[in-house]
Amino acid sequence: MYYYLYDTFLSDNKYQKTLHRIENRLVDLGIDGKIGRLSMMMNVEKLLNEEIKKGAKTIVAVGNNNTIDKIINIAAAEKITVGVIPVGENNEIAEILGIPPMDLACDILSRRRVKKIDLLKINRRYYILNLKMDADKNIEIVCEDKYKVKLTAKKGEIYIYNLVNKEYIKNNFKFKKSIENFFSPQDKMFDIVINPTDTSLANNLLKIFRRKQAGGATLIPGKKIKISAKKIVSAVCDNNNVVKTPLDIKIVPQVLKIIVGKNRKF
Amino acid sequence: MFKQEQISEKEVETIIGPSVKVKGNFQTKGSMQIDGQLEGTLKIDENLIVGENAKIIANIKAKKISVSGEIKGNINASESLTLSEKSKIEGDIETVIFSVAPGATIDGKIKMDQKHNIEKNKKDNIKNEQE
Repeated sequence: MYYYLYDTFLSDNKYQKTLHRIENRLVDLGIDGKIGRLSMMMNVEKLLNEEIKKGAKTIVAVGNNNTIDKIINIAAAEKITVGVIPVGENNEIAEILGIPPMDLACDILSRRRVKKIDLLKINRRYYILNLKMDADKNIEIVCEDKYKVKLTAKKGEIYIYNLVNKEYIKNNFKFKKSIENFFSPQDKMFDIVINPTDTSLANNLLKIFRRKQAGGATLIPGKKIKISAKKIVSAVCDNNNVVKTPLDIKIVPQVLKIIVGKNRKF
Repeated sequence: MFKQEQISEKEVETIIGPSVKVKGNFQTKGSMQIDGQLEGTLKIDENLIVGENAKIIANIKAKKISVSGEIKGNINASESLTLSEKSKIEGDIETVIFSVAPGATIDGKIKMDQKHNIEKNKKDNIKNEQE
């Protein structure tokens, strides 16, 4: 049984025609189901728990990345399959999963190509995409309880990736090597990227003087890391949720069942 | 010019960039490229590339090792070790196939015992399989 969860922003009149088209297409394909409409004060997890008890086997996030984020914790815990119908902006997750926007997504849903993917567990919550934070010399990363990684540049960025578009990585980071074997949400590992961003004149002159190749990101696959700092530092998970150090990050292998398209990017 | 890279780039699974320092016991089942700093021990099941600006203070164990930077510590390359003209080694070397470019500096003993290494590898493989 399918349960469709409409995100809050879809109550705007401008989405009504789109939603009608989606609903009609779902009926045509024979995969229509109960619709739940989120509101600002609603407890999503409570609502989903009730629907799962009533027999929902697939929860479909109708909305954007934030809608998916609201679902994955309960879906992973209850082993429920997740589907996505992207509407509006901010649909990076659907794009990586190979799901086209709006009513076109219904056909992907009906084909029901289910993949099990890894999730990031950061402190107590699951996240599907990534964690991003600014870094300096005070931040310490302990990997696998065995070794510490520290930035030697004045400033930099730390990224922990699970699900990501490889083209984005290729365009935004300078790696000396091929990244084809990295950045898969099914490899039971996350990928830590540490990118120096020290653009001061002194640093640039030093690079020229030493004839060093500028940039040069670090890439470490991992399963478990802890990030701490002398002063509390904020990080952003899945481009939306703010968390603060200390951070306990793990990969939870193949914990989420999700419907994907043929054109997925992993 | 001395040809350094015998190790395929596609094999590299961990990259330590020039702006990063790693401290502790690093162990990986894949290959690795180091362009930054590392202190501790380094155990790699596959191959290691040490870049020109890399500084390593560690005992290193890998199959094929290619060095252009500095290493303070003992090196055990069970298949081959290649030192480029800019490499500096302070420590003992144990390997089977050894190539050194003019200009490379070594302060330590070099042991090239083919039989010993082959037997040791066999034992390690059997031990790994049993584990």
